[in-house]
Amino acid sequence: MKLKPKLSPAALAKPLQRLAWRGQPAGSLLSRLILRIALLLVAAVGLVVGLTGWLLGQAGDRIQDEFLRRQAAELVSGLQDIPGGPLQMRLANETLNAYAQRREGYTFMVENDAGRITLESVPMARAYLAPALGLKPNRPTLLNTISRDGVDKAMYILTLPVHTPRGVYYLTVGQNRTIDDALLDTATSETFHSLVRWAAPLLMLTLLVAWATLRGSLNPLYRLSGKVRELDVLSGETLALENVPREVRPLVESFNTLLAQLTRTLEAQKGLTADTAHQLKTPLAVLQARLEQLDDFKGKALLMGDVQRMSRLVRQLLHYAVLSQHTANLQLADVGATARAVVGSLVPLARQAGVTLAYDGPDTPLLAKHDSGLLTEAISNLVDNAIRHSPKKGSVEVAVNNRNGKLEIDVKDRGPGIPPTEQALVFTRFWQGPDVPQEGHHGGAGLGLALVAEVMRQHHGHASVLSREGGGSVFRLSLPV
Amino acid sequence: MRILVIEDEKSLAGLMEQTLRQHGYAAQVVHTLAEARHALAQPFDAVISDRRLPDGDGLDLVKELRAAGNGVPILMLTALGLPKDRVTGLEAGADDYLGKPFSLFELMARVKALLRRTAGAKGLQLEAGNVVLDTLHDTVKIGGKPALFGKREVVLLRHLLQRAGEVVGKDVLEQALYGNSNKEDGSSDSRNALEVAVHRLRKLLESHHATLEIITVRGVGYLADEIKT
Repeated sequence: MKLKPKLSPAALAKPLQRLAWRGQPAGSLLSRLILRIALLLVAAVGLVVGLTGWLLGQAGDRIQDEFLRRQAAELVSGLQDIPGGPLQMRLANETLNAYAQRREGYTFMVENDAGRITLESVPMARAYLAPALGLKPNRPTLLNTISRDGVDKAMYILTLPVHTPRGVYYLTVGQNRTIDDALLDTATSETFHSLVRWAAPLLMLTLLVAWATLRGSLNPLYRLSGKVRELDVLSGETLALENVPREVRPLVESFNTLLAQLTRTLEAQKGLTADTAHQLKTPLAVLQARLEQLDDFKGKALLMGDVQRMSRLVRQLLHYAVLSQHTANLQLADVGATARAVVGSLVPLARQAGVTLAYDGPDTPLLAKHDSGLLTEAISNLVDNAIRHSPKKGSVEVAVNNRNGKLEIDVKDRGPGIPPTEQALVFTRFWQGPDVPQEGHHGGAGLGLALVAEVMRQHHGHASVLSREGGGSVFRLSLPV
Repeated sequence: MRILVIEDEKSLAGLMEQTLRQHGYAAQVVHTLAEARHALAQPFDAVISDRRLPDGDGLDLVKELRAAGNGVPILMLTALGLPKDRVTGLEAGADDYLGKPFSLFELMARVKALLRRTAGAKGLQLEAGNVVLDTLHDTVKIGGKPALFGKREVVLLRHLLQRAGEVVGKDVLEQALYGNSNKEDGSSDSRNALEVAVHRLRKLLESHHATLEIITVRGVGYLADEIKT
């Protein structure tokens, strides 16, 4: 839906867009359907009510016509032509009285061929029926007449010719419209009103039932989107086709095809990455060895740093590619032992960097299902990072705790820390710390933490980073126990 | 000391050979498993082997040697180098595992450690800084002069020197000193005893002006390393 810019302040555009049910943004299928059904129902009810009103009016008119015709027929049957005498109306006294009193607004008159009035229900009936004098309507017709009190009144008037041996007479009968109409209108409008009174709650009820039905019918869709949300795309899982509505089946099938393609592409890409990284290792080893063999020269340290940085990148690339294909072999074992082994193996590196490395944990075994090789890799990456970012004479501590039903492995440093805004990003691939690596500084490749996250994913655990009180960071691995 | 280098990448093999020679080792280089099998008819003090070789996996050679009862210390080199590869390598009988790319200094340190460990087992001399431990007679010399060490201190020193520069776990040391009789229940006792023994060893080293220090790695264990000046 597009609005003219003048009329569309940004504040208005949004709710309008949400309402737009012909346009693109289909916020919710359910509300879309409900909105359409509601509009449809309102239109249908409106149509039915209107039609009923119109039909009731029509029926009223027909009833009135019919009454007038019967009245006229009764009067014609009452006309008696006595030879020699005047034309007479022979009817039950009661009926005649009713005419004389203009009960129910009926008036009649009889005129002869020459236009002379020979009979009248009341004196001056001709005044009421005046408009019919010249017209002689042969079917009930609504005509305006002027009453004695000068008020406009509409009358239904019908004139029937009566053939007698003496010649043709015309019987004209009329009824004040207001009288029968009032009666009919009351009936009609009462019917109409009760219809409207019932329509509103019925409409609401129908909508409620429609909503419940629609929600129920959309359940397979809700289930499906739930499954999609929980789907582990990298694991090669696909969506099951059973219980999927026929309409959505092609969508699910396409989705599965896409998943399969994605998995294939990822595998191919990882395979390529692993091969490339692998092939790069030997020439890098040669390069490093050659460099180390050279006598000291200006810039040798920088070059060595560069080679080491590149080696790290290649190693991490390989590990990342292999690990993401690898399925963890989870076994119940002491996480403390795994963490202690990492600390032990990295002490030489820490000492080279002038950093103290320590382990803190209970003496009792801390059991959790884990793949010790993978977890070693993850903790090593964190400790390696922590050492790299520690100042000289700094310290790095690895602590393992059983906290809130989870095993937490904390790697704490006193490095520059990571700004809270960056903390959510550190586990994404190729994230680089805010301290841009300077020349000779062996910065990471930005893969180490992605690797950690991948390992934790395979352990159904979680990796996070917190700011440490007093400066530095705490990298935390949480393992389900 | 004769060392066999099995590496098909000739430039890398050449560089390793050169470095080993510089450190006073006699190195022989072969490029295939077949050549290695032929060379191993003669005794070597250590073997450095790549895994991916033109005619097979270096690990198979390790298994063959171990099956034949050959206990020569073996250092595996590999471009694989994932933790699990390291584990399979060690399980197959290799003594150490070094991932490519590596520093030649690192390689030399590993080779020395490897030789030291087997030397210790064979009852030869362990050396770090100016400290020399004769494992056959359990005697210690510091700066060339004999030093009187208690039995526990010698055991401790031997374990630390066998893995000089590396962390030796507290549990390993405790077991070496006291056996594992009271490991389960009275571990705090033995832990204190270990701390006392380390303290005494430090004092002894200090009083003899040793250029070797014992570093505590809190929560993990101890490490003996040369004091660099």
